[in-house]
Formats: sequence, C-alpha cells, structure tokens
Amino acid sequence: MRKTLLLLLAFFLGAVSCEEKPAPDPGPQEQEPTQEPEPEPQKPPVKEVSLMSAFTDDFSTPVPEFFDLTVRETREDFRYFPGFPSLSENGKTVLMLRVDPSDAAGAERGAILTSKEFVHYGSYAARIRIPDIVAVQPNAGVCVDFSLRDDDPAFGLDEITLELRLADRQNVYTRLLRREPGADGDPAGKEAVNAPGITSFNAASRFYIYGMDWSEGKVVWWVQTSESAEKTTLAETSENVPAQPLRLELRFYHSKLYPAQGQASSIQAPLYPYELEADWIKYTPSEQ
Amino acid sequence: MKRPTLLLSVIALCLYAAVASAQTDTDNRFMRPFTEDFSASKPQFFNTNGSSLRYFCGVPSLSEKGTEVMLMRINPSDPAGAGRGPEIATPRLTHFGTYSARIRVPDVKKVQPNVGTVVGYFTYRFTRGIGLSEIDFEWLIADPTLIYIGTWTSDPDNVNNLQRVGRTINMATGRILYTNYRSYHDGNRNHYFDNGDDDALSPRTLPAIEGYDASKRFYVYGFDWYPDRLTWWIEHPETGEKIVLWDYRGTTPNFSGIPQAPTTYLLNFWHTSDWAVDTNPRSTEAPKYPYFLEIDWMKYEPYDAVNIEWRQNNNY
Repeated sequence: MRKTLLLLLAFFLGAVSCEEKPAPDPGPQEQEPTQEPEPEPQKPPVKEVSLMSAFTDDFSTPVPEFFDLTVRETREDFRYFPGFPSLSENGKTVLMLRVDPSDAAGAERGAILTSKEFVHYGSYAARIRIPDIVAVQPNAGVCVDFSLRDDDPAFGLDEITLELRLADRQNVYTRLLRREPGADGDPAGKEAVNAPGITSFNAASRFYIYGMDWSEGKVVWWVQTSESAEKTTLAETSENVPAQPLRLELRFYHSKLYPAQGQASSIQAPLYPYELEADWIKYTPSEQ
Repeated sequence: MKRPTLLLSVIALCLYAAVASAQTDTDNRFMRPFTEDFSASKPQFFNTNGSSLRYFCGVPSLSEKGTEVMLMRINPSDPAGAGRGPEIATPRLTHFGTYSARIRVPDVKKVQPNVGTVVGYFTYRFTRGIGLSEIDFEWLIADPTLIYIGTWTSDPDNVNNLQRVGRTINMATGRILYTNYRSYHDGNRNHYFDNGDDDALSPRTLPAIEGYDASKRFYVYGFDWYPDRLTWWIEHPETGEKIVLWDYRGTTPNFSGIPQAPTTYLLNFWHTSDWAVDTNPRSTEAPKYPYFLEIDWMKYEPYDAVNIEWRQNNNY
C-alpha cells in the first residue's frame, strides 16, 4: 500500500515537472527603424493627344484620307499628285510626289505628308517605288523618309525613320533620333545602312513594301517584296526607343546631309522634278 | 407680211439650207471638226501606239493649276527614230484646214543638255500616186527656244524620194535662222530661196516673244493649210495675237512644197540619234530619264468646201 502511494506520488511529481513552463520574458527587443514606404517612381507625363485607329491610305482620291499635305503658300505647289495613275503598274492609282529643283535642301523643305492625328505602338508599312536617277544624275541628293516623328517643346524630339536615297538603290537606311526638351542642336542617335537580303534588290526597279514595327522598348525595320512574302529584317534596336505618341510621315526632299554610302558627292540639288510613287501606307496599332 | 414676200423668204431660206448642206463634208473617211481636250482617261479623237505606260490622259497638269492634260512619257530604252516613242494619231483622215494645239515640252536643259529628243506636232500620210503629205512643227528639246517648221512631200510613187521646204526660228529673239529647201532631184543639196521671193520668204522678220521657251510654259501653235498656201503661226501668250511664223505660198524649181493629199493628224515624242539642234551639235544622246511632255488640247477645223472640191477634182 505504502509503495503504491509512493509510486503515485512520484508519478504526479514527474507530470508536474514536464509541464511546459512559460518562456521567460525576453525583455524589450531592439527595433529596426521604421521605413516610410518608397514613393512609386513618377511616370513621365503622356502626351494628351488623339490617336488614330488602324488605317490604309491607298491615295486613290484627289485628297489623301489620312494625311495632311504641307503645301507652299508663297508660290504654286506642284509636288503632290494623289490619285494619279501609276507610272509603272497598269491599273494602279498612286500618290505621285515630284521633288522641286527650286526647293532648298532640308527635310522641312520638300514634300511632306503628315498623319492627321498621332499614332503609337504598332506596325507601319508603305509600298513605294523611287525614281531611277542613277543614269541621269548619279549624285543627286534626294531622300525619301518614311518616319514616325514629333518635335514637342515639352517632350523633345523623337524620330524613327526608314530612308531611301535616290543615289543608292541597293540600300535602306534606318535611323532613331532623340533630342531632349529644351536642348539645342541636332538630335542624337544611331543610323544604320542596311542591304536587304533580297535577291536583286533595287528600290528603283519596282515597288517594295517598307515597314517599321514599334513596340514598347523595341523597333524593328523591315522590307517585303509583297504582302504575302516574308518580311526581311533590316535592323532592330532596343536603345532609346520612343515611348510617346508620334506622327506618321512621308517626306521627299533634297538633302545635303545624307549622301549615299561611299558616295560623299551625292548631295547635289536635283536638276529635274523626279517622280516618287507611293501606292499605299498602312497602320496597324498594337493590341492593348 | 404680204404673200409674195413670204414666199420669197421661204425660197431664200431653202436655198441657203441647200447650199449650207452641200458644203458640209459628210465623207466618213475624214475626221469632222473637233477639239480634243484630253480630259477623259483616254483621248476621244486620237489613237495611241505602244505601251499604255507612255500615256497619262485626263490628269492634272504638272505645271498649270486647274488644267487637265495628256502626258506623254519617253522611255530611255526606246530606240531612236520618228514614231519609236509615244505617238498619237487620228483614226481617220484630215485634209486642208486649220490645225492648232497647246503644248509644253519638257525642261531638260539643266539635267541633260545633250539630249537628242524631238517633239513633233504634224500631219503625215503617203498616198501612192500623189505622194507624201507631211506638215511639221517640231522642237528639239535640247534648245526649246528654236522652232522647226516645214513640210515633206515626195515623188508620187516613192516615199523615199523626199522634198523639203523648211524654216528654223529662234522665237525668243525673233531671228529667222534660215529658210531653205532640198530634194531628191539634185541629191538633197541645200538651197536657199531667192532673196526677192516674197511668196517663199514672208514674213522676212518676226517679233520676239519675250522669254519664249517651249519648256517653260504652254504655248498655242497652229497652221492653216490650203492647196496653195501654208501659214504657220503662234499665239502670243500675253496678248493672244496670232504671230505668223511663215506664210508660204512659194515654189521651188521642182516642187511646190505644199502637200496636197489627205493625211493623218499626229503628235509624237522620240529620240533622235542624228538630228542635233542647231545650237548644240552634241545633242543626240538618248534620254536618260523618262521625261514628260504635256499636251493641253489639239484642234482641227477642216475647210469643208475646199476639201470637197479637191476630192472631186482629183477623183479621190
């Protein structure tokens, strides 16, 4: 009996000793300094502009549907001929542009088509044939610019350009420029000369489709022989890609700044109003 | 009105109608009077030859607002020779009458000063038994201040035996460079009309048209063709005055130089490799670019009574 009681007592004493004891109070702990949440980086302001929807301007009407023409006011202007029969393809109607030998040099001085509103990320294409001037004036300094561009006092200048130079039928020039708002001087950027990997490419011998795909942080320039053909990439870049809406432009002008590669003398003023043909220009916005 | 007077009036009216209808040429081998204004997509009174990419009809002028024209475009690959470039011609015959056109030739002196290219505004047809019937207005675009006018006729049965009377004029100065003739009769030697020959040399002097240059603006050119007289003229661009360039009523020892046979009415634009403009002996290069020629309109006003009588007299 006595042994049993002693055993029970030992059992109960052990049980009590196994009970979890409360943790000792750790005392006050060191506190990390409290941090205010970082403010979110301010997004740059976005141009508040109207954006165009997808379009194709086939220049079949006397006045282009999606572009404004920059027309001279000081004298009669014979540079623009929309709705004109193609000079090289039966049954086609094109925009014929003529370079004016009396125009001063400069991208602002020649024929300019500008989209009626702004555009943004998407795919841009133009079907173009340049005049063949190599036999008659091989050093003519005349350029065709298919561009996305805007020069805004608040946002600066941005330009994405695909360029053809009449003195160089075999190459396509690509360019991306930037000038900060308020800055003086010429915009800075990169230019490349690209020989399309297309058999017998000659921008004066036939129409080609030239294009630019512009997305956030990337631009790809390309060329096609037809809409069903594979796109041949000319160049691409991820540096300094514009983010703001721009306007779509086509320019045809005398230039002293952009000679053909390896032909520094090709900056002469045109001696005849050579004719450029633009069959159509197309814009396909990126899906949101 | 008393009855006899009324009767006389009716008779007079009937006679007049009879006379008038007798003078209207109804021979359907011949064009009726027309003005081709090139306002449609194809000419109404002319046929074209060759590739359709040489002709652009009913398009805006490249140099004059509000004017619709036909453009002709020469192809650098065209071979040399008359008719080897773009050319339009009436589908039926024309004959004695007044011919006129408003034309601007391409301005190429700066871009290709030695180009050998002709703009021809003319009539042409060879009729066996009568001979060649050709009357010309021509410009060699290497020097668009000069105008070449004249005729080509021939042996009645051999178009290669040619006869020429011609005059070359600098319209900017009013200077007549020469008036001459030649033919197969004596080996195509060049001859000048006798200085006293008014019928061949009138007018002997011309007024200058200040700034005349066939490539700088449109001008109206024309000729009046009779069986015994040919008068070439130009309209002054400011006053509209008709300036006679050559009033030819002459003859040469072997031929008159005035075509007689019915013909066809044409305009063409072609490369010449052997006819340099008088002021530039090097101007025989093939065109190096497809230059444009502009034609505003072409008109034909036949002399019906003259034509009807000629056909009757010549059993045509």
